[in-house]
Amino acid sequence: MPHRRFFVLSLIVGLPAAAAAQFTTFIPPQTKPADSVRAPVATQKAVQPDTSLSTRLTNLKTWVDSAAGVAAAPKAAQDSLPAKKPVPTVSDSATAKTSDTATMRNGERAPATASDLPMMALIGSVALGLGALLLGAGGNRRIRTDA
Amino acid sequence: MRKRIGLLLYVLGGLLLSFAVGRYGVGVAKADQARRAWDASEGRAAVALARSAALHHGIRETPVDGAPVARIVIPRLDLDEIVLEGVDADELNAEPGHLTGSAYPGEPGNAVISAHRDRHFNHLDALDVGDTIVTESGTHQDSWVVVAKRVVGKDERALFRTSDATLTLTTCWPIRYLGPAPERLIVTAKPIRRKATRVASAS
Repeated sequence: MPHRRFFVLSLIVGLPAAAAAQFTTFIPPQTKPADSVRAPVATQKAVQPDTSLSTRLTNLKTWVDSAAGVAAAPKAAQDSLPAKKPVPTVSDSATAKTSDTATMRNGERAPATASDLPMMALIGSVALGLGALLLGAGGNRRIRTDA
Repeated sequence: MRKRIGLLLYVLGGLLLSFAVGRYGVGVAKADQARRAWDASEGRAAVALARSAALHHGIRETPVDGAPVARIVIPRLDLDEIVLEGVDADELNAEPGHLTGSAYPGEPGNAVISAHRDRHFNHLDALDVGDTIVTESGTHQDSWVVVAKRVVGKDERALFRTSDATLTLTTCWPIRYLGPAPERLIVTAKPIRRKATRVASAS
């Protein structure tokens, strides 16, 4: 009898626990935020520490340089505004080129406008005339010899 | 022997003369081409609009070398030529050239135009103070009066930037001289009148 009592007692204690396990409520997992939303946030979080680290390191280097008596290299000034985009114009690429550096120097020499052509034409004419003269003279002499 | 030397001189002279005449011919053809390009109103309008738009937005646009950029008329010398961009041998062989980087005629700054002394500016020395020069740059026609004329050494730094509109014409000096000239003739003019051209009025 004590065995039967023990068995009934264990059923009374054990069954509700098993039954409770059967009817556990399903709790769905929370929906993940979309990657497109998380990515910029993650990037921003990742960038911020880098920027501050870089600044801190730069300052540290300047501080070390100044402490060591080395003149720090001048830091290039950075524009606080974003770079200006070139405004599209109606220019024809075949007739125009953008050039922001081509400005005349203050104190430019006047361009050399000497042409070699007159000299070349003169020398050519003289050589041609002289050559014709020599050829003619040679021809006349031969004719005279033949005669 | 004499015949051989004669033949050599004859051939050499013929080649030199042909080359010189050929270069002159190429220059004349290019000048004609530049004149036609300038006269084409569409091209003029496009260049003028592009330049005015670029200047308005603070962008400096330089035409490619050899492109027509202006027209210059000097009644005293009976000269009417199209000015090309650049002062290299090819441009100067064809037409007067605009010194790249200098201002364009009529714009604020010093506009420098150069030409060969044996070609377009072969009578530049006849220009006197008080004479008139007219330039046309697509959007405007400017009249200038010659205010100075001087001769400087070839290495002298004689061209300066100006804040107001100035026109400077340069050529080699002496005008009647064979070979690289030792000096430069510089003529300076100031604007006296400006009026809009047909293209500017239309746009």
